Amino acid sequence: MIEEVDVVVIGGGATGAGTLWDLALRGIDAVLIEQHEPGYGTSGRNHGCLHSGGRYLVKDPELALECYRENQILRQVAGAAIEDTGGLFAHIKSDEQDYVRRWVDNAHRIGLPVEEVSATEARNMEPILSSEVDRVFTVPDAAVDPFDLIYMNLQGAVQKGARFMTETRVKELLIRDGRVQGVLAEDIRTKEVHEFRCRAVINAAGPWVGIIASLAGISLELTYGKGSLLVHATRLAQRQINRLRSPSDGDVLMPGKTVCLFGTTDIHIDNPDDTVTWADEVKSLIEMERPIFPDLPEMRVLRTVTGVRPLYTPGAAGTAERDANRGHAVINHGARDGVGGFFTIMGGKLTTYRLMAEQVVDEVARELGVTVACKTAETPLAGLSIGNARNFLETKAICECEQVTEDDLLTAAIFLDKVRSGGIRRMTRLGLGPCQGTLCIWRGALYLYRKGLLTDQECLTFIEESLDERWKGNRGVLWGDQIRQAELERGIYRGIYGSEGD
Amino acid sequence: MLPVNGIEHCLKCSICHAACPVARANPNYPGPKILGPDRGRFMMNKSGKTVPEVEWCTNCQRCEVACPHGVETASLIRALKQEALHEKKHYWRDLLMGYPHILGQLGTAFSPIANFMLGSPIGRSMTAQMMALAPDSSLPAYAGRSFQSWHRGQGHTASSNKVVYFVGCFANYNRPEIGQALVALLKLLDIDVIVPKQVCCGVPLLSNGFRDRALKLMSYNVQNLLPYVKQGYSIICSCPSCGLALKKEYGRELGTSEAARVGAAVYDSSEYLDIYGQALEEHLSAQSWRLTYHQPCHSLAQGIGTPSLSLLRKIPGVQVSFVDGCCGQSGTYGLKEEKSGVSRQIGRQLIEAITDQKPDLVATDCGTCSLQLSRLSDLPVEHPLVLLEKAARGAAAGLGDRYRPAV
Amino acid sequence: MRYDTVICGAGLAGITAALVSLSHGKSTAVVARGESSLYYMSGYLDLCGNGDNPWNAIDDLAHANPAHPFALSDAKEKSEALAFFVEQTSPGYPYAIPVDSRNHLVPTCTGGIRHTYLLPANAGADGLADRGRRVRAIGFTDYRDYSAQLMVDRLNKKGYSWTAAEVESGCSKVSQTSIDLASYLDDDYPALIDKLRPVVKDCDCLVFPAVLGFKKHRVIVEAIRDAFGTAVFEVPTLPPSLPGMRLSSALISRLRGLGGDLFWGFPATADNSAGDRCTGLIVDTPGRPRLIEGENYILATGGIAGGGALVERERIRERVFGLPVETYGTTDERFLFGEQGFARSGIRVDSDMRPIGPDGKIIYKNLFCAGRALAGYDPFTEYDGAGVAIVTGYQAALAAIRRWD
Repeated sequence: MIEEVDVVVIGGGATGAGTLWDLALRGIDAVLIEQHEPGYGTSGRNHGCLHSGGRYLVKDPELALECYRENQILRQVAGAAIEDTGGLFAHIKSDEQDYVRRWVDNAHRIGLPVEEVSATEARNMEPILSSEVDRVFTVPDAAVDPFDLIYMNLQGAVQKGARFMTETRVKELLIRDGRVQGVLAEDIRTKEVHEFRCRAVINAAGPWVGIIASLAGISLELTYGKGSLLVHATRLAQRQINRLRSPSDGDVLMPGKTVCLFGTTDIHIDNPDDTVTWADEVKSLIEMERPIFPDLPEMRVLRTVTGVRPLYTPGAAGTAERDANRGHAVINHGARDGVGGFFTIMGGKLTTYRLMAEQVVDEVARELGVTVACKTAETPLAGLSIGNARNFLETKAICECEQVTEDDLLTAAIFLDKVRSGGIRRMTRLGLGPCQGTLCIWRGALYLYRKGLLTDQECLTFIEESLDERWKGNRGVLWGDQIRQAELERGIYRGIYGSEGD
Repeated sequence: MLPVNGIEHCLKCSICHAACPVARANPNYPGPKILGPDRGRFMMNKSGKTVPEVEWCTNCQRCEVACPHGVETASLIRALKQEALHEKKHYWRDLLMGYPHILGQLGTAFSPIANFMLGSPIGRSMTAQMMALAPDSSLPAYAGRSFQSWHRGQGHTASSNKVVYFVGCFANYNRPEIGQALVALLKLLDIDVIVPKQVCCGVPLLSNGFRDRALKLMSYNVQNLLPYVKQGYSIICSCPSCGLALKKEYGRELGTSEAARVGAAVYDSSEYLDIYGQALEEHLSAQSWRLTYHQPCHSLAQGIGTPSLSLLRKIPGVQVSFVDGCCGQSGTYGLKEEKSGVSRQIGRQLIEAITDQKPDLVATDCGTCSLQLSRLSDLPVEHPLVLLEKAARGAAAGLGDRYRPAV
Repeated sequence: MRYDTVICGAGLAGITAALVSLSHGKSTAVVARGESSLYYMSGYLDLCGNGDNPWNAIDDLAHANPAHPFALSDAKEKSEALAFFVEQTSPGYPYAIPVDSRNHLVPTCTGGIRHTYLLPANAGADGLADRGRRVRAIGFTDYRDYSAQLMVDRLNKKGYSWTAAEVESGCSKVSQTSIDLASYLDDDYPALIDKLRPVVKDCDCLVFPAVLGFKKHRVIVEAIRDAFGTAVFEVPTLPPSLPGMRLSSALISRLRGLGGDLFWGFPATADNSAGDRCTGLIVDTPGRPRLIEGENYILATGGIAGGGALVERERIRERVFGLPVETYGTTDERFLFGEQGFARSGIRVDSDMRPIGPDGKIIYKNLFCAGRALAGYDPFTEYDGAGVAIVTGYQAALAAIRRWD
């Protein structure tokens, strides 16, 4: 099947989805291709911080300012994905004292509103804080739900006529006469091949940008950093809490809806698909919790989340990319490598995804001769009509931990091009709660089956894939309540199933 | 709010839901799992919303007893009740019924009038309407003289063995015979009974979400009991709800070492007498009763086993069977207009189990359980202490008067 | 109060042990922290293996793994234990031993096929043995944990020709778990029979999700059987498990009827002050701890899921006595069908079911261990959970009684 489209966007993370939305708002016809489901990669494997910029104040004040500006914009346009938790920067007695002064100075310099509160007051606000904390500042940090954010961008884009395909992997870039002409992509299950004829391709594949670039014979100088987080079962803090020191591992405790996340680590890896959390990573995270949140190591840990940060490390001379050290880079491969119509956007923060999309679409629009300016900073994104039950009591919820309803599943199943466990889970939070799907994976799959959205075989595949995916995050934290949960879950599902292949 | 009450230990296995009598009887009640650990988790987010359904919880605590993982579900639900207090429909009624010791003082002082209001058809209908009670609810009649007043008239024995009796409102104002039986049985064991100043244990307020007010009653009781505990006295409760509150809720809710110290000295009356089971046995004469024993939920929740059952089995010639289940009365819950149907529905299954045993007589430790059981069955219901005392009094004591509510 | 036998745990193993002890005239107390895993397990009581002959499977397992709990008894003891157990269930919720001592073939609610040994006597047994049988699977439109159609879709691909039908249960509860439906049917089952009339035709057997009543189960099954002249079979679904609850409730009322004492709802730790003998269980009850003393003690607190084995970050701790736990660390990346090493962790015992240390020495002379707390097996992959619980519970109690006599 051959389809014509102006632009193909590769990658369904925040940047890809934001790019699709930006293109749609400028009236550029586009399709997004995602190899798994939107939010599968780095965008869906982080704290979910909407940075105020506080974290970068000393190291990179310009980046801090950029974060602060985007923070203010996103509160306006993507409010439905954001919870205004506020943030604290808490300094521990034993950490460097002079850092506080430099931090405060830079905050004043760039105009970031920070305010000091007494340590006692801070501990009243957040009882999880250690008594070793001596100075605390409030900042306008917020929590952003990366899944909500991504699917809101997709939803907005789809309403403007854009399309997206999940579980579809790009196999080939069609290049002729030094220009990209199209893309061949294949369904990862059925192996059905789709051909797109297009005028431009945007590579927003996150950790996989190098692989996509290599399809055009282009080499990108990339290294990969793996970062792991611990997901605690309950919300142990109301605000984002940062350790006030030079940015390092294990600095942030981030509340997100019903849970909170602590992280991260930073380990060099060679393969962008290497998202297994190592046992000693978990151990070191637990130890990193102790100095600032002494009770946290004893609190139930649901799972680990491991994401991969692609780091762009261009050679010193002769490169066309702009300002790679500012956190993100837009590469016009026509100028850099002689492959016209091919652009890569990489690096950056979840907080700056909109700006990154704006910058890459600016370049593409110039190439396509489109003069419409970016509108994403002014155009509000509608929230998803999912998760409304969290504010009241839905007693017939499919997932009781996260209050995911039948309507939520139906909405997601209709919105997604394919009804698969990953997309349903990320869009609805099915199975993200403490029981990690013990009851709701079966219940949810049955509901979709009964609605005719899954066949009997797909229903079982949905269950097995969901269980294996949950297990992936549980395997690193098999102690206390969570291993008990896993044994209970194994008993229940072995009981429901019988043996394999039956 | 840091995670409390074992909320993190919940594995969502739904055992609590299976154990909940209200969830089985009330189609509108979502059950302890959903209201306790599930909702509690959302409430840890400061933007969490309260849910009025918590009102339906009877605080029987069967969910906590059934939970193999240590989730304090009933406490979680009580905390949510407190948060939802301002949404309460019958605020003033529930508040008034939270002070049974004041009602009891008035009720015994003016017992002819009180019993007219509670017992006669006209009085009952007026009371029910005024108080939003079920028209057929059987309120307990008030005694002409409270236990405390009776006990003040009794001399003390010369014994150096003394215990403190926390009477509880039911035995004090409605059925002084229970307390009198305890005094008599302890006298056989040469133990003297001290009755210090006391008010309601606080459970009625606590179960209805009035935690702050309950704490005041609890503190008052701790203050009055502590001097005796410091001298090494044990505290005896003949009411399982008072006993459970003193043992468990006081320490947890007041959070003071004094409350914990008082709690550690508390015994259920049968738990205490069971220690002297052999000595007591010698005093018990043969009876031909065919008994069924119903263990109140708050006796079960004390983790003391079934001492009343072992004591009753010591009466020669008596056949005792055991039935498991909740009667649904739960203090004032079963009296309330909107809840009486659910309460009755819960009790129905227990009554069926009891009548299957074909007993002449039902024994249960809790005053309000006995109200419900005698309302729903046609059987006489007695406190084990009263039965034991009858057996100890010798001769073939008659089956005894059926305990009659004010009706 | 001092008991002859004190048992920690009220699951299948603990209650079996308690009933053995009581039936030998011993005073017996059971201390349990809440309800047991029967509340969430299927109610199919497996003996061993997912094949036709459980006895061969036992031999194979015990041969391949001498540390398997089944290696501690011979076939005769196992048969005695099962016969004893089945007899104990008969007043409340009778189970039956298969006539030919072979496994039954039963369906799962995903339309899987599996083998099991003991089934409730009124289950109409062999739901799957006869492929020609005309079976109609009934589901409820308002019960979200079960789909008759899914089960039938899957089974019919394996050579069966079942049919499916759904009716509305009529249960109007805001929460609709198995127990909600079951308690609704306890009250209103005649209405269900009326609803079934239009959809029940041309069949020899009706298959339902396991929600046919709790207290009134027997009456409900008989009413359906009488109304339609068919066999009635229940397929387990999500917890709470009604077959498990019925069994647990039947066994516990049997225990009470025989005069056993039950201390319910609170965790216990052992008083280990007296060297090589356990002198008491300290139960963490409200107000103050309660000491329960006995001549002999049986540990039947379960494994990781049951709470007997407490997994910490660096080690596994046996919760009550602090016994050494044999641990297995490796996990498989596939959750359900992989080998999970931790499942085989547990207490190693001697031939008298007494826990032993790594050096093979007995730890307490008067302590015996049964059920999921034992090391060396994984009930979920070996299909021997109930078998091990019943057999070792029986053995442990007999060993305790032998010591006492």
